[in-house]
Amino acid sequence: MTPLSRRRFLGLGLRAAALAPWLPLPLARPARAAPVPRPLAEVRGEDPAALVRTAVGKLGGMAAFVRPGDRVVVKPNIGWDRTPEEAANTHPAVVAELARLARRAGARLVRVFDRTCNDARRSYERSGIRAAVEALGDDGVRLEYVRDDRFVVVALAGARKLTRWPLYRPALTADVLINCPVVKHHGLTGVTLAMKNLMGVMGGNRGRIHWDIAESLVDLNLAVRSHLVVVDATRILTRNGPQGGGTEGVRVANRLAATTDVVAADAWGARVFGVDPMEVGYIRRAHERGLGVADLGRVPVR
Amino acid sequence: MRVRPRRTVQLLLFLGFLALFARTAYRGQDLLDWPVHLVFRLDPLAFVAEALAVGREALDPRWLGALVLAAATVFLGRFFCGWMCPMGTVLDGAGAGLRRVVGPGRRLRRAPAALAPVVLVGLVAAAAAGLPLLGLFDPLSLLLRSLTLAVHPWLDAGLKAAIAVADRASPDAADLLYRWLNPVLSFGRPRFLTAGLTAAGFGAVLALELLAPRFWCAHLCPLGALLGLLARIGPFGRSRAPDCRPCSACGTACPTGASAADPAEPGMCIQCGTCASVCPRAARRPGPVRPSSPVPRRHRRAVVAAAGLGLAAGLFPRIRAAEAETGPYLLRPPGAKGEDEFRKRCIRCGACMRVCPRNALHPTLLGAGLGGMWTPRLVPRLGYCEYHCRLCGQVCPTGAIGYLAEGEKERWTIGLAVFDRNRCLPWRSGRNCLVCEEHCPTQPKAIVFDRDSGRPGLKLPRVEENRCVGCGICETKCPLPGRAAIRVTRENPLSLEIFF
Repeated sequence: MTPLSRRRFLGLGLRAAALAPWLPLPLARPARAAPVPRPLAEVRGEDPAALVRTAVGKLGGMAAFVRPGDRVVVKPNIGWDRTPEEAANTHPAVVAELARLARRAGARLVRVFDRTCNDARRSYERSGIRAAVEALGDDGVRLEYVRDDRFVVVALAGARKLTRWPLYRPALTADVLINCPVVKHHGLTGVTLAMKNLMGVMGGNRGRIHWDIAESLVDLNLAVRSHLVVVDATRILTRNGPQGGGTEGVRVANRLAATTDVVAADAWGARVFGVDPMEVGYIRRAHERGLGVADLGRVPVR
Repeated sequence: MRVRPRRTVQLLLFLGFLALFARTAYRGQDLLDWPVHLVFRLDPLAFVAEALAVGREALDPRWLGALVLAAATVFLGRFFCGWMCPMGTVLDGAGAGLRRVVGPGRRLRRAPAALAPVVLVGLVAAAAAGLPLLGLFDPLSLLLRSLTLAVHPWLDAGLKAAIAVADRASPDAADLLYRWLNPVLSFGRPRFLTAGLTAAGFGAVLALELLAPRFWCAHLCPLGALLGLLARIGPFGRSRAPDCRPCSACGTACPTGASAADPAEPGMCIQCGTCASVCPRAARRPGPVRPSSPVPRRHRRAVVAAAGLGLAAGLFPRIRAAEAETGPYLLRPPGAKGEDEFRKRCIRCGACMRVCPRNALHPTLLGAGLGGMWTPRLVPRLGYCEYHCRLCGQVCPTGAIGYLAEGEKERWTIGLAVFDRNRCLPWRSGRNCLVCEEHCPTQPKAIVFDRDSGRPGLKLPRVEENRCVGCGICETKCPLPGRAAIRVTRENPLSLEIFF
């Protein structure tokens, strides 16, 4: 074989670089039409990891969601430079346990990330999530910083407000997306949960969606499906949310739920927080637009 | 291969400097172990700048290294310049590269002797009269500042662009690249106000190499001049031995032109040893010489003139009305001394801008007056002050930004956020937004909202003035395009200081 000349190497490289932006990207998946109530597992206890194991077990175990060789994304809330006791981020033990279970079910790679509000390095550190993930000692679990060159502008199928937006490609291309929010107070929406946690895959000036948050969050969740939702209510931030500060507004609830229906998950979280789900704008709109079932009376709770 | 001890020492020390630079970043620890400002502990000019700012208070053990270096220079000459100074190493490297590309060109006829004392005396006089710009020309400051504001962001952008291309082809390969390069990459995408001007200034200093090697060091550098003054009063120098047959080889080869005289002009000699290595008879060597006055006799008038001009320049801000127009948005980093002392102390090294995790600190151009050029200011629309972070105070070499302890930082008030109700969405359009309130880090929040009885559901944001610390996260995150509808002003309801 003739050796590659420098000129030819550069030429090939430039051509490859020019073609790269046109490589096809998977389109956002449209939602299913008629929502069928799906089971929700509810557990209580003091050990967050054990809660995760039991709740996921009640839904058939992690193997029901993760097949061997899958690429999995665990998307906790790591938005803030706050400690676990301050309840502004998902509990580190919940995150680590989900990653561990996914790997045990055969996941090839588990990515953990959030597009944070405070400095990502500080938030990953002080949330305790970096330490918890590293303590797994598993190269197949990667706590990653979100990189802005990995956002792609996506047309969101079925959207009313959020028709086009840059979304995080690793979240779109994952085989399984595990959404694990923490239950928190929020000044604008009253309470923030799984649907809003998905804002962590949004790029750009995402504060903009506050201007029509209910419709936008439904649009986002219709396009990016959470395959498993684990709601962390081990601690609940009851005021000064969503970032709190100190432990005065923190209520230790020792509860957790798992389901595949992001709307049911949020309805459960709202109930635990102490508000009527139908009073929360985005939960009501999600229910009305068929994203899922917010009427907990119809949801089989295990 | 010939071992060249000076090159080896220069290279190792320069790599050390870069290593410190790379470590001057948040990597999960609230206290930095090896911040880059440590190089200033060896900088007698930084000591002089601080002494001019605060007088006797500058006599502090922190400056021991700088004073030892100054004392050593009396006996050893400007060895710092030839062997240690990272700016000197950069100039040697850049000069060699430039001359290879452009060719040696027409060398400038050398200035007869060191003119740098004129620069130094002028700057010191100006600082003493009230125009503190010494740091702007300190070579360590100049290098660190240029690296921080222009060179490193530029390289960083190039590497990240390459990774982004690789990512399209193979995300796994890009991941790997990213992890390999992590120690040299910036966390975010650093970009700075005055990047262009800073790069141009740095480029100009490098281009001086085309006039003559080490032109900056021999003729302009105020630190070199200070060390040169000390070297001239010392008892040692490089002179011709009795067996010299003047062939001028040393004078031609000498990078700074010091060896054109005999003994070599100690104010310009950087102890590189080139003269001895080119001497065919090994007759050029160090030895005792008669100490002389710090300034060459024929430069005394120039130095006196420089002092006069410096004083006049230093007084100029007092008659410049624009000095009083600092504007309401000049915000200083947390822990900063009062404005006047801050400007005097700051040596414009850019270490605070380098370490700021949110890229929130930027150089001031003229916004703080002539004496405030390249001092750091917080520009909240570009980045906010992270609530629990207190890195800038740790890396400030001169105490212009004071160290804040944990808990102290969270109470430090940088300014006060003020709404522009003409642009704020809920106020002007009756639509909810509250992104500012969401991000407000104080406990309880400094941004609260009122209800309007006529419009149920509408939340109208307002600042609780005694809670706001002026971190600026509200201004950073305000989703309006362009200028934010909430801006941090220099007001501080908790302090009277800005009013005197």
